[in-house]
Amino acid sequence: MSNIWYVAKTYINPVLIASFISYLFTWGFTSLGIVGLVSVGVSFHEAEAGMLMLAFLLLLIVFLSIFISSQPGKTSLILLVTGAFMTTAAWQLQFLIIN
Amino acid sequence: MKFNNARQAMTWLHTWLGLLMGFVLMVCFFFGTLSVFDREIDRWTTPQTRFEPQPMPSFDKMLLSVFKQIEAEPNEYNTFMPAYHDASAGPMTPRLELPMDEFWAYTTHRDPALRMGVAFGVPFPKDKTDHNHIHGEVSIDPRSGNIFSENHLKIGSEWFYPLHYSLNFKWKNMGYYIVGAAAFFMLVALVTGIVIHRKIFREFFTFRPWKNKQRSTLDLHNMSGVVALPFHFFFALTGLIIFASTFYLPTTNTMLKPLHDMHEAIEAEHTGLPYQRSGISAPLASVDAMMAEAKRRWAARDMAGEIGFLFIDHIGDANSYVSIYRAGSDRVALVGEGIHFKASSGKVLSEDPPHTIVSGIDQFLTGLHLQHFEHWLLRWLYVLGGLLGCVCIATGFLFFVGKRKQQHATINSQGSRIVDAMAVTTITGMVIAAVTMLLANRLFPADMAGKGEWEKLVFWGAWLLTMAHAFWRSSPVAKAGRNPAWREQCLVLTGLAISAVIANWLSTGDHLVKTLMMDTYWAVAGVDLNLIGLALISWLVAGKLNSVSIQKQSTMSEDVVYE
Repeated sequence: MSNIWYVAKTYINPVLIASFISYLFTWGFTSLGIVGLVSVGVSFHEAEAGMLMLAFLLLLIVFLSIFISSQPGKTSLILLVTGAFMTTAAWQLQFLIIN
Repeated sequence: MKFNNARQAMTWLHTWLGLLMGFVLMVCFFFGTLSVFDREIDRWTTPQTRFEPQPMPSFDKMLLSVFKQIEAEPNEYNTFMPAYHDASAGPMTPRLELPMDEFWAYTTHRDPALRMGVAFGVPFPKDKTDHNHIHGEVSIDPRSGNIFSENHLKIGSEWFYPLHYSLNFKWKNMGYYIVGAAAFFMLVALVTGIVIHRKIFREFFTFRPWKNKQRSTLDLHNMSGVVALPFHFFFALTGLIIFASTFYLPTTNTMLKPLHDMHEAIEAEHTGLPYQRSGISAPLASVDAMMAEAKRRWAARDMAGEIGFLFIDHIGDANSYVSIYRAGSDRVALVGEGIHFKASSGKVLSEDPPHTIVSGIDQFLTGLHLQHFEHWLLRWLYVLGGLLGCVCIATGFLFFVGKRKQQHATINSQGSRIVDAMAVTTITGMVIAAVTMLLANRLFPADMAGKGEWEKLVFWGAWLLTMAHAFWRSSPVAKAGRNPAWREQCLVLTGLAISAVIANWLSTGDHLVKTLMMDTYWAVAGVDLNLIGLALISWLVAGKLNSVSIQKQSTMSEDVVYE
């Protein structure tokens, strides 16, 4: 059993945590990007297609940045907070556009 | 986890993510490669469809009567109807009494069989704003309008093709998510691979088969990774983009759905294509006349072509419209130049607007991945790129095991043994499963009840057997030796591939002399030739493995490291 915990702690947890944080950041950035572009007059599907094309390159960069950072904990925290902020902002902004 | 430098972090990611996701990626690359010729494999597995592809037939004289025969698929009805139906509004409509809401028909330059489908509406839906549909689908002979038996599984396009993006693991769409994670980690492995291989340009030209096995394995891993690097990166990335809005980043279908729905309604106003039914019934005008008008308009734009996709929405309603899309097999981008007609009058409602830069790039990327084009040389380059991906992953497994098995033997660890057995299962085992399925397809009688389901069982059964065999024979790896399952499965593969070619000949009369020279039919000849090529390669590999003594393998250098 101790071997399983060792494998989880050493190999699986860092990847899962970095995946979650980078995904949340990308989700927030993409959502805010779509809402922002729509608010300045870009058609919805254009904004969606453009942001989704960029999203996975961004996800890749953010994921790798967590691993190569000299302070991975601090980097992760900044990305987590920024991602959550962008997600909330996108969610609220869409209602401003609709109304 | 903290690393001393960025390169160390990249090496760690490359090794462990490559290993973990390599097993899934191997399936994606191999079956993705087969998908380049999925329709040709369909011809081999369904002999009654061995004729030339046809243009879209007459809707008024043929397709309409076929659409009326299509029924809602029983499994889909049983699964989704209870979820869609609002019991408080009325009784659940029986499957065969569901009203038709949408028609579609799709043909390609590579498929003689025409695919058609109907989306049936749900009379008392829980969510009235959503498009609740139960579907039914058939394939027909476009020369006669006869419906092909659904008993025959289209192994190329309905089994191998979806395997590469969903693993045919449908529970909660988990297959899509596993493949998506694998595609993302493929991108990570490629980028980290570039970073850790500092002499990447030199590795493009470096393969030294005369050096020790570990060195030449790593050379081949590096070379196959570097040569096809843009291809691998592109396919992993576009695979993610294609399913982004549906599965991988569905922000517009979840969090931003209110904004999405508002723009759907605005778009419907702009295009004149109604978003909802009006509730007023109306007849359907001649669709053949609309098809002729669409062709005339494409020709007037200097892009004459055939119809690839036909779609009719809100059947029988005053808001019904007909969309006709051009077959895009003469270009890479997945564009249809759609022309839309009012169904009751045949009047043109709108034409798809010119493409913007963003949508043009998106359609080009999607089209390049889905390769609906007719360029055969380019299609074969896709096969080469896909196979290089398989070689890269397979040699990665071999290098991983070769580097560690001596050490694992010393400390009595089973790690290398497990990885090696999984590698056998994923490389030779997977190919055996595919070829066994083809062989079963030719051996099972055409009128066998549930033939397609039995073929699927044979596929999974054969794969499980190869896994059991790989683990059963893996004990030498724990002593730093080689797993004899590699050689044994290569020999089995040789026998299966040759048997499949013979079974095709005996069951259909289509032997290679006939399909190559007497009555040329490249789809069938191509599959037969590839099976013979596979038999030859696996036989040669088995011979090579036999000639290398177990003692010699155990002295493989353990000193080769990334450089």
